[in-house]
Amino acid sequence: MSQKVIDFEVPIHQLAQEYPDFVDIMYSIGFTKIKVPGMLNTVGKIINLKKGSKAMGIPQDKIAQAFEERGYELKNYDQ
Amino acid sequence: MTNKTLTSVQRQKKIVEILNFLHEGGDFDKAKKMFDESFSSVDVSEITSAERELISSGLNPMEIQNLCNVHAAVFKGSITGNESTPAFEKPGHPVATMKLENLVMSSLINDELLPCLKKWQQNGKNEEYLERMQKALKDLMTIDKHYSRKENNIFPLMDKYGITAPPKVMWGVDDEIRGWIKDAYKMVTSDPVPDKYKVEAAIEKACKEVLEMIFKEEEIMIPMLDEVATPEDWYMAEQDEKDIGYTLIAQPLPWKPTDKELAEGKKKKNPKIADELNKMAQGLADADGLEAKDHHREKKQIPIVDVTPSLQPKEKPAPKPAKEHMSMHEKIRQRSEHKLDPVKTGLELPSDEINVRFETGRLNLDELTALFNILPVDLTFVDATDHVKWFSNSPNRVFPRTKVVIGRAVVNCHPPKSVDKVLEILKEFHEGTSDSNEFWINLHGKTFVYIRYYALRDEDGHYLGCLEVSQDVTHIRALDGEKRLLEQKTKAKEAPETEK
Repeated sequence: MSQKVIDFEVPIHQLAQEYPDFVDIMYSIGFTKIKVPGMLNTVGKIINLKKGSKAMGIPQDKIAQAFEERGYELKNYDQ
Repeated sequence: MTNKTLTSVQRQKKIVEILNFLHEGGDFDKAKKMFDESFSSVDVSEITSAERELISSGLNPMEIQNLCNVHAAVFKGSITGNESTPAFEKPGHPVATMKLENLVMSSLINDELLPCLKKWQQNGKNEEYLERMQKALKDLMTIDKHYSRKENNIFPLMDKYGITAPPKVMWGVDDEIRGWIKDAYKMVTSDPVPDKYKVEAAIEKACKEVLEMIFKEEEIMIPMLDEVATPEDWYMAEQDEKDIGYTLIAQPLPWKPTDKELAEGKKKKNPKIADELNKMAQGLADADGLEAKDHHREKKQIPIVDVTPSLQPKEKPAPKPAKEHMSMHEKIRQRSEHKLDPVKTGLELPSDEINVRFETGRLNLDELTALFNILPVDLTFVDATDHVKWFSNSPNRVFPRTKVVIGRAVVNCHPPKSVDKVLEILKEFHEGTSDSNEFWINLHGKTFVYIRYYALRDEDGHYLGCLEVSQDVTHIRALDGEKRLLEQKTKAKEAPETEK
């Protein structure tokens, strides 16, 4: 049983390593800087989705929806 | 001694004494102790009344603001008991300064600008709210100081540890925000003021972006820096801050790391993230094939550093040989170490005895320094590896430069929107297809600035670096007629003296 879980409190760098489609999904929601070389390896280790949502002004529910649509389960997501 | 034995006059004296101690660079925790000893059982109202007395007795308002900061920090400390205050919270630490400005700016947005916008929308005839929005946006424009300090003092620190992408991205956003604020300000000051919804959209956009940037600085940038930066790094950043200035706060107290903090900073070697960043930087350097390419050319030997009188050492101090296959990161490290800790030759000389012999004469260090400072142009020299090597420290530079910039890659010293142009110029200089370039800009419609770039080459034509020469030419452009040495009395049309 392999569950795909997106934890909103885990550094995004870790999520990106776990799930190959993570970066593209994030990019499609509006986190365009995630593809700038050197960003995921630095900022990505500090920041989780909760903080990312606030820093980029992208609401958490928009992130939640995008990942749910692709069959992810959500963890630590405050509705 | 408790506060009961202190009269209010003694109390004031004590407060001033502590303030003076802090101003002379005294240790914050010691000041806190002095404070606690005199005011152990004092409550907030007593301190505020003491402050009021100080104000009525004519204390400089700047001092009062400092006092408020100190007293806030002291009270914050007394809640957590006797532990020493974390360096980031000490008044004057670059992080504390940044956070204080962020607090003031957040309040300006949430308690003044946005409420005024709302009230103005409800009653558009009310000029008062429009004026207050104009004032608030004008104040918000001074965010430029906050961003300039970040870009010139803090980003180099990140660079130094291989964190290069985030500052570049952030600088781009900083520039956008400067633009959003300016747009909003233009709207509320134009006549007639545009459509309400347009004004609302512009102001809200600017506010949202500023607040998001505050979050990025405090929740991403500072934690990242905390992983890598040492107390020495912060001290170096702190020293250059006042040259640029502050956003909506008075000049903070001087801060310097305590011996204990320095010692703890040494222990903090190789944090995990720094280690990973090192590897990454190395990887990038390898990929770029950035190896030290030294021509090892035969150069004619001339005694350059001329040490007078008879103390001349037999062997000339050889520069540290560049390690072969040094990674970019190691090079950066070496450069910055060099900057912090100049090579010691075991020989100390007064600065007027250190001479450089040119073909056309000899100048000592004092003369050279004074000469560069008085030149009517500002010079910045970028070496053949495109790193900033030196700048002339004239007191009224058109574009301020801070010492942390030395050793920094030139690509990281420019806003993203102009970096392509800079790279193009340097490329032409390296290739030898061009030897100079020039620009002129009208700063704020008041100062006409002429900027020239020159390729420097040695006698064999090898590229040595790029010299930036910038100059305020407002006065020169306004000159008319003539003023000659021999005809002092004849009427020369004097150009208006420009302010610098």
